[in-house]
Amino acid sequence: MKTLHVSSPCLRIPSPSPRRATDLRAIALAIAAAALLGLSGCSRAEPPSPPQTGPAPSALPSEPAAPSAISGESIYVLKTSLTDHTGATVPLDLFRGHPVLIAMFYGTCPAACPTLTRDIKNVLELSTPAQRADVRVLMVSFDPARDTPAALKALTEKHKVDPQTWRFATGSDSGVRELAAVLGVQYRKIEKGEYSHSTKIVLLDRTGAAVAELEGLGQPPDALVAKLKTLSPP
Amino acid sequence: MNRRPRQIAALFTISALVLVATARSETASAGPPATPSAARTSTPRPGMVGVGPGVLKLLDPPTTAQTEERVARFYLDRAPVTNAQYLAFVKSRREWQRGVPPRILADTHYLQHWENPLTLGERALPEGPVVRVSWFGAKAYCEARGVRLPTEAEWELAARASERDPAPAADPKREQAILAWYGQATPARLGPVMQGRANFWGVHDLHGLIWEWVGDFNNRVVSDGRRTDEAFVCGGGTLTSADKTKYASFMRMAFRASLRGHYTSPNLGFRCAADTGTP
Repeated sequence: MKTLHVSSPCLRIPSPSPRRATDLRAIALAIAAAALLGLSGCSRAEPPSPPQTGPAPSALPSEPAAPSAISGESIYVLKTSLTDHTGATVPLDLFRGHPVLIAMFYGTCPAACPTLTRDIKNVLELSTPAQRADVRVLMVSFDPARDTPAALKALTEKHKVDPQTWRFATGSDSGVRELAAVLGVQYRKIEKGEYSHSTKIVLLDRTGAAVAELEGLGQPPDALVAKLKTLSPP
Repeated sequence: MNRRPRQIAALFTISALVLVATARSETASAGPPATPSAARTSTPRPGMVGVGPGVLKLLDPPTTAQTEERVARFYLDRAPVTNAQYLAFVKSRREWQRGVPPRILADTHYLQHWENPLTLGERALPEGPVVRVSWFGAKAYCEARGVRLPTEAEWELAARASERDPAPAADPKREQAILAWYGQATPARLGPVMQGRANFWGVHDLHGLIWEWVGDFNNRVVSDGRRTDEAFVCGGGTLTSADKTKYASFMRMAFRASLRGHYTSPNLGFRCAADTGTP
């Protein structure tokens, strides 16, 4: 029987299956639709039946679709400011003018987040030297309480990333929640300091508009790499 | 749009899922009741009342060990934010007037039912709840008041209370009344807030008027193809064996999971909350 898996701790890494991901999204949307359309399944089991007057189609969210970041609009409209691994306060658009690979994570994540970092390195390795010199990587933690500048600095060293290209940062609880909302990233704190969260690499163009994304871990990066090539010098 | 047939197919899947859940109902314990005396001694902001503390039983435990969530005492608006209140906000904050926010923050239906950006008109009663507001707009409104949106757990804790009990035992009639509203059409013009009775905490309209944004609406992972392993079976098992009186909570959770921050809807509004330590 099919079940809806609405949550999972980060340490369990899913194997790739874009088709399944779409199914899950469809199920979640269908539940929402059922919630608004009248719960026919419930009403048969729980007398008396709720009135089935049927809502106007407009009762549904205006664009029920997968939580994609692709909007064609710049995420830099957010006034979010970040604190990076040096302790400096930087604006969300610090890499404006460059193509940016942006992802959200938390530093103490045992498995999924290191894999996310590896996936981004993989995208960079598949790019040309000129593209690598042009692109920037912004890793934003949704765990500001623990991802202090010192913790973020330790991550840059642990992952041996080029400081010219990469920036590890975090923001206020409110700010990172807003960033997650525009990127279509979901997260919530669970016990023992862990988070249940989605993983997504979003490619921003030079103006900050999301133009491609790679969702899940260990996914084929071809489409993201191809899109990056269209944004960067040869 | 080729996603549509899959969504329809999924609807049937959900119907089956819900029916199975009904057949396997189990008793979920309510959290320890909060003390009414605490509610009386608090000094919330104007328009707000104290709610909690309390313990929520999680519908979708993230791990087998974590089945409850403790909610600290907080303040919550007694009523949803009204059209008149939101109008006053946009008058002072032009960036939130209809037609101004970028679409990434509010879709094209934002405040569409108002007569114009600074006039409510016939379809929006001043004392009716404001709807067609995006999460970003709702968040900005609360922050302009120096407060915030409630968390999902806070909202659900407040919504669990009946008129007399902060954590009532399962009551099929009450649950049925809540579910019945979910099946009704949204009226062309919503009525005024605070027409019904307040619940135990003194909060109105948590059920039966509108859906409401919460600050962490995007807290459920439904989008990255999670696999079936032991923990996930537990999560799925929760949904298929949940107490049938928790359907309404489950439906709200699923609805929130389908939202994006810029979405607006003719039956989706909000209210604000605050920490009890907030000055």
